[in-house]
Formats: sequence, structure tokens, C-alpha cells
Amino acid sequence: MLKNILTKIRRVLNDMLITHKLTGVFLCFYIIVVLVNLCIFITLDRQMKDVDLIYKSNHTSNELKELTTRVQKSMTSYMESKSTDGMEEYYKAVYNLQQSVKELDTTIEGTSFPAMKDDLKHLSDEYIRYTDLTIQQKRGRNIEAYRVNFDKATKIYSFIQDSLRAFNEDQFKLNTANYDRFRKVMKSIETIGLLILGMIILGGCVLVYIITSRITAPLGKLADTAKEVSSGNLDVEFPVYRRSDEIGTLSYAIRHMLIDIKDYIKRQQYIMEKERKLKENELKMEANIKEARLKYFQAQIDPHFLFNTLNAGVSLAMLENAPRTGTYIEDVAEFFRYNIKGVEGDATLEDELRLADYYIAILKVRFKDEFELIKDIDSQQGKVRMPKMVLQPILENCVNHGIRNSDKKGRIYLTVYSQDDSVIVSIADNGVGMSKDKIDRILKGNYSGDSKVKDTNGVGLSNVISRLKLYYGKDDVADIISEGEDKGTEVVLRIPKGENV
Amino acid sequence: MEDKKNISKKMILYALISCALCAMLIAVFHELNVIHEIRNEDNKDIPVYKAKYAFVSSDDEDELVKAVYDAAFNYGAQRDIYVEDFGALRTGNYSIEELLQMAVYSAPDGIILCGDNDEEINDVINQAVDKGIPVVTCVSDREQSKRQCYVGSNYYTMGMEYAKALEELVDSDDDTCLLMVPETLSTVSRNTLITTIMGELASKNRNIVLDVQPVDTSDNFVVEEKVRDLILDSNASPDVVICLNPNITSTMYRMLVDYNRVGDISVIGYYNSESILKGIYKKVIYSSVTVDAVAIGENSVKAVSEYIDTGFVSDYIPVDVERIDGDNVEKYLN
Repeated sequence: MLKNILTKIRRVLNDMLITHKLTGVFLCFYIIVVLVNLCIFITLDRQMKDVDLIYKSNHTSNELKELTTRVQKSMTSYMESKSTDGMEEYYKAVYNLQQSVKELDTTIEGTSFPAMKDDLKHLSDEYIRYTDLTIQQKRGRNIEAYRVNFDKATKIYSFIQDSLRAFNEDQFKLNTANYDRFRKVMKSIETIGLLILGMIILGGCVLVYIITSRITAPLGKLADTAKEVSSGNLDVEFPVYRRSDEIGTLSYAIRHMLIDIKDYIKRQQYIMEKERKLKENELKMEANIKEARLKYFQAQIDPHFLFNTLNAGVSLAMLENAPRTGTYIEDVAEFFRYNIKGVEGDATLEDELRLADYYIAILKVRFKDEFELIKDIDSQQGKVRMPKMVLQPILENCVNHGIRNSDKKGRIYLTVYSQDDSVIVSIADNGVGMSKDKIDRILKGNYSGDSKVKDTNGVGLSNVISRLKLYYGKDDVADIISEGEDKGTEVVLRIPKGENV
Repeated sequence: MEDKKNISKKMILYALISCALCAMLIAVFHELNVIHEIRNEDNKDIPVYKAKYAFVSSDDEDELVKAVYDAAFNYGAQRDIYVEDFGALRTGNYSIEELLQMAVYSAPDGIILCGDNDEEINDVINQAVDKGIPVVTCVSDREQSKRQCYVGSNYYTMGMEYAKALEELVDSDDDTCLLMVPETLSTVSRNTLITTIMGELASKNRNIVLDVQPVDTSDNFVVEEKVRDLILDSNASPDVVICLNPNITSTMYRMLVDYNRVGDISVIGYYNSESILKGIYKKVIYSSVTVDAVAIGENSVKAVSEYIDTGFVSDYIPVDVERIDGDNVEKYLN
């Protein structure tokens, strides 16, 4: 129960705004200080009343003393002068004395002359009775009687005066004792005041320290953590303050900011990695191109001399009426013209197919119909972009490695069709086929070619596939399928349609 | 490690501050307790009385009177009756008649008249009684007045005790004896006392001459002068002195020691004050006749209250008389 209440209080305090907390603390202090002052004020007020009481009895006895003296004097004065003024003065004095006596508290109590007030009341009554008699008898000129009563009154007066003097003296002693007690109480009040002041100062310092620590300690931790973060350590554990005040809000905001920063850095790292890979690909591609170019240059001869020679051959064939020879030489010339442009840059599927036609025509003359090319081409797909010198090396591979080593008549199937987002170019032969291991090595780019085969323009199948992968930026751009020995080989190219001209 | 050090330092600081706060709090409570006790002291011991009796005496300094008043006051206080010593602290030189007159004017519920007094006081006693204020006399009686009651020993009994002491002390009838009596002792009382002593001695066939010397006991200096004169004048010095007042007895004891006359004059005293008992113990005073002061004081208050309550009271309430001498003085000293 108590634990729950404390938890609730703690939660409420945690959720309070810092401004409210500080205001609360200061208000508490003000209230305590005001209450303490109020208590001291009340005690002092009570003490002042006690002081009043101490001197009240003295005041009363002095008043009685003065009033009886006035009565005595006015009576004596009247006795001497018998004037109206004297009588008036006497009655005034008597009236005042009677009023004062009436107010006397005649309770018999206390330790100092407990019955003194009662005595004084009755003595005063007797005194007034005798003074009245004296005055009356003076007016009636009863000399003998007024002399006797005057003496009696004077005797009582003397006794009252003497009693009051004794009473005052005793009261003085008593008041001195009371004053000592009063001083002790005042001293105690002073000490209490000082002690409470000390307690407020000490307790206040502790309380302020605790409260400000509670407020600033989380801020300090946040600052330390922020410093860690600023020094580059993003993996630091950020403190969590589940509260609704400014610190809670700040810690929540900074924590989330840190998470965002981490995410951002991760994204940046990913992008940079990607860029690095692209750069690497570019470099690889450049290296492949350079390799292809190098091999090409190794194979090339002086093009002007070759073209001039071939053109002279065409003219000679026409003159000698040998059109097939002329066509053959022309095909050769076209083939080399395309090759002279090199492998840099790209071409359309149409260009590649045209080059394939020239190449097959040349080979057919050379190999005397040992094989045939069966084409099934979707002419709609001819505009798709692709690297140069792709189809010819594949066809060359079909002829040199597939068909030439086979006993049966060779067939090469060139098929172009659309499939989903790609244009599929399939070049298949019914040759000797290809082993699985070889296929894998070619696809991975690890196959360096067959050194025995010389009859090639120098650009291998492996190079073609590698260039296609780099050009399109994906691995599944080419595939080689062979079901085994003498089951032929099919090279399938998947050219993305997005690469249209 | 550093954190642990800081925490322990902090704990020590908190502990010290807590101790200081506790000490301050204890001090505050202590001071509050002091104030509370002072206030309680102020509030308690304020007795409230339902009646006041005026105690009027001829001599406030007389040890017997003092003892009677103390007994009367204590007895009255237990019954919420304030017994006011009317002559106390009033510095004016008032006669017992005047004091009694003032007491009558003060309208007390009752008056206790204690000690020796003159016959003139009878009028004032009668005046008080006429006003409805009961008057009880003690130690010394005013039988001719209208007083309601007398509390004390009678002088016949006392005379008998003094006679016995004289008979024991005086070997030869030629020895001179002096009776020092307070001036205020009434003639009747004095005569009763002397007659009783002489009668008793005569019955024992002793013919001792007894001189009487009145002494003004209201003034201690006068008492001292009288006693000193008696001791220093060896021709006039009696063989035996009977002191009928505590002050005279004490002064006689002191003077005999001071003037080295112990043994020259034998003393028979009155009352059992400390100095008198010491005198008896040292055999400077032969014997002392005493009355029970406490019984007188208590019975006086009792008599006034009884009269107020019932309208009647015994005319005389006797109090025992005893003789103290070397044989039984230790009982009183203890």
C-alpha cells in the first residue's frame, strides 16, 4: 500500500516539469519559513501577555494606592476648607475608588497574599464608610464625631497604604521570579529560533542538492553520452528516462535521433558499397574490352590493304563472270568491315544478326554445306541494344567446337523471340555437346579457351558472356545448356528489353 | 572504483547532516520541554481557597506563635482555607488591637487571636463577634470577651509543672527566684500561674520567694538588655530564673553562655524551640515547660470551622503541657 503510494508520488514527481519542481521546492521553503515565523510570533505574543499579567497586579495596587490617597487628600482638604469644590473632588475620588474596587478580583488564590484583594475590597469599603461619615458629620458640624471617624478613616487609610506597599513588595519579589522564568522562556525561544533556522538552512541545502541532483544528474548523463556520440561512438547505450518532463522528452528525442543517424550511416554505407561494386564492374569491363581489343589487334591486318584486295577480287570475279565468288568476297569484305570497328561500344540485335549472316555465308563456302543455319527470328526485336561481337563468337564456337568434330551434318538453330521483359536469343547446335564442368567454367569466366583451335577471330565464348554480364549488370544474362555428349549445345542470351535503341 | 568512493563520501556527508539535524531536533524538543515545564510551573501551585481566616498575633517573631501559625496554615490549606497572617509583612508599627481591628474591617470568615494581649482587646473581639465573625483565642486567653473558643494550655497546669521543676531545682529556700513574664500576659493568667506555683510549693513545705519581672517581648533588643543586665549584675542575679516566653528563654541561654555564667543561674524555660532544646541538652537550661504548637494551630482552625458550620464550639479546647529536661530532651531533639 505504502509502496504503491510512494511509487505514485515518485511517478508524479518525475512527470512534473522542471519549472514546476523548482517552484514547488521554493514554495515549500517559503511555507516552512512562514510557519516557523508564525509559531515564534505566536509564542512571543503569548509571552507578552504573560508580561502584561506580571505587571497587572502592580498596576492595580498602584491605582488603588493613588485613588485612596486622592480620597484621603480630598477628605482632608474638605475638612480644612469645607468648600464645594473640595466636596466635589471628594465624591469624584470616592466614585473612582469604588469603581476600581468593584473591578477587583476577590478570589482567594495564589501564593502571594492570596486574600489581599479581598482584604483591600473590604478595607476600602470600610474606609469609604468612615470618610463618608466624616464628611457628613463635618457638614453637620458634629465635631466630636467627625474627629473620631476621621481618625478611624485615617487609620484604615494608613493600613491600606501599608498593605499595598507590602503587597507591592511581595509582588515585586514574585515578579522578579516570574521575570526570571520569562527570561528563561525567551532564551529558549531564541535558541529554538536559531536551531530551526539552522535546520532550515542545513535541511534546505540538502533538499536543494538532492532535488537539483535529481534534475541535473540525468542531464549530466545525457551530456556525457552525447559527448561519446560526438566523438564517433554511435554504439553507446543511450540512457532511457521514462518520464514526461523535459529530461524524458530530451532523452527520447536524442535516442531517436541517434537511431536515425545510425540508419542514415548504414544507408550511406550501402550506397557507397554499391557504388564501389559498380566502379569495380566498370574496371573489369574495361579490362575485358582491353583484353578483347588486344586479341583483336593481334588478329587484324591492315584493313585498307585488305579492303582494296577484296574489292579487286570482287571486280575480277565480275570480269571472269564468277558471281558466287564475287558474292563470297563481298561477304568477307562486309564481315571484316564490321570487325574493323572493334568491340568498343554497342550495337543492335539487327547488326549482330546481319554479321551472323555474313559469317555463316563465308563458312558455308569454306565448309561446302557441311552444316546449315536454321533461323527463326522475330524481326520486331531487332532494335534491342547489346554489346558488339556477341553472336559471331557464339556461332564460331558452334562451328569450331560443336559441328566440325561431329560426324553428322551440322545444324545451327538461331532463334530470336520475346519472353516477358527480355528478348531471348538462342543459338543451338547438334554438335558434340559440352561437359557440365566446362559450362560452369565458361559461365564463371574461368575458361581460357582451347589453344589447339586456331581458326578463330580471337573472341571466346567466355569473354562474350562476361561482357554481357557487365553490360547488363546481372548474372543470368546468358546460359549454356548441353544435355551431354553428342546432344548439342545451346547458348541462350536474355537481353533486357529496356536496352532498346 | 571512483564511483564507489564518491558514493561512500556522499553517504558519510548525508549521515553527518542527518546526525546534525537529529541533534538540532532533539535540542529543539529539549527547549520546548523547558518552556513546557516553566509554563507548568507557572500554572501549578496556584491554590484557590474557599474561605479566609485572619491570624492575628502579638508577636510574629515569637517561635511559639510562628509554629502555631504554620500548623494552622498547613491544616487550613488542606481544607481550602487560607489562614492569613495578618501582621506579616505589614511594616507599620501596629498594636495587636489595631491589627485585630483591621482584620475585622477585612471581613474574614473567622479570626484566630494568638499570643499575649491586653484587656483592651476585648472590645475589638466583641466587635468582631457582633459582626458575625467567630474569634478563637489560642496560647493566651481573653475569657472576658465574647470569643467563641480558647485553644491552649491552662495556666494552672503550667504552674504545676513549673512548681515541680522549682522544687527539684532549688535546694534551699533562701535561693532567689525570678519569674520573667511577658508584659502582654494578662493579669489573670499571670496571677493564676503565680498562685499555682506558690500554692504547690507551699503544699510541699517549700517557702521560696518568687519575684516577678515583666518584659516587653515585642522588641528583641529590650529582651536582650533585660537579660544582660540581670546576668552582669551579680548582686541582683537570682539563683533561678523562670522564663515564661520562648524568646526570653533563648536569650537567657545565649547570654549565659556568652558571659560565661553557666551554672551561676539556673533556668527553667518555656517552649521547645531548637535553641532551647540544645540548652537543655547542654544542661544550661534545667527544664522547659512546653505546649503542642501544632495541636494549638490545628485545633484553632478546627474550632473556627466548627463554629461556622454548626454555630457552636467548645469554650475551651485543652492542649497538653509537658516538661522537658535532661531525661527526655533527646526525644525532642530527634
